[in-house]
Amino acid sequence: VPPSPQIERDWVVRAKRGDERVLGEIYEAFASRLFAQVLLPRLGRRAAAEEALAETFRSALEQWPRYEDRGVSVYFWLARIATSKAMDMHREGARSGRALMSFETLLGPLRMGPEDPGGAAERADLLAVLRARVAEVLGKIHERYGRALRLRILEERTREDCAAALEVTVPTFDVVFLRALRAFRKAWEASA
Amino acid sequence: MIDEDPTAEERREAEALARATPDAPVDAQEVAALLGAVKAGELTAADRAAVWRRVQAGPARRPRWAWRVALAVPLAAALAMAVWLGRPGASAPTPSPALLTAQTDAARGHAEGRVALERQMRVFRKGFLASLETRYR
Repeated sequence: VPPSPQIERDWVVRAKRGDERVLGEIYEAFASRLFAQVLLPRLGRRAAAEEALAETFRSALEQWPRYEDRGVSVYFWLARIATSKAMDMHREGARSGRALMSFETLLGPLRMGPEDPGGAAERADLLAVLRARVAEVLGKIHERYGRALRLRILEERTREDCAAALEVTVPTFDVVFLRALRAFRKAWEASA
Repeated sequence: MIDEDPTAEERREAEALARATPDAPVDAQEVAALLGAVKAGELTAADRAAVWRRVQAGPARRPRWAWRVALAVPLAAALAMAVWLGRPGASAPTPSPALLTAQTDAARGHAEGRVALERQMRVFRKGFLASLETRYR
């Protein structure tokens, strides 16, 4: 449950008094939402999103003494830091040749985003919504494509295993997998 | 479509995707990222606690040699400048002990060190630019 405005005001007052436990409470209140709604969609990979979450709160720890209450949720401030950390990680990934892949463009109307600290986020958990939509779209594409995606991504089987399960060669599986991803995208966008 | 023979371009894209090379098709990679994230799931209480421990542990420590490199590069640059400007009328400011301390602290990942380094570098740059102005005015 998102913290009430009164709780958030209390955090600011305690922070001004130098109470260092405040940020731990803020972390508990907002970490999961920042992870699911800001970082994971922008970074694609769980490990990268966790690292960006840690970086976000490291920065928040440094900046918190200078935090100014603007009458809106602390979540906005954290989401801005998190967005910036995600961009830093994309730049770092591009430099090191380990590019990260955002899937933000696919969220479209599902997007709840950092702009809504309490409302939409309370109504539904983004990952739960995504999970339901993914299951629905997997059911709409060709059975063979759905199987390829389940095997390779959801069950994390090797390409060789997947190819054997579909009774094709590995290069053929690679083509089936590419077509499956594109078929999924088409169905996803059509049902948005 | 499902039984159609792949084109040469499709084969190339499929291979790039399989090998995760930089030219892998973005449209397909985005879908793979979405499905991977759904598979990865939410942050559990245990995950949250683990990340918080990383927050409290501070930034990842740099290798022991990193601070020496961080210190050596600006010093070498300052020395080169000093030599270059070491003709009559030119002088580069010597890095102050406070600047060197701030560089060391920043290289060790201390937040205050980074702030102090910025402050000290502003002072150093001001002195450095002033010496250039004196030399070339």
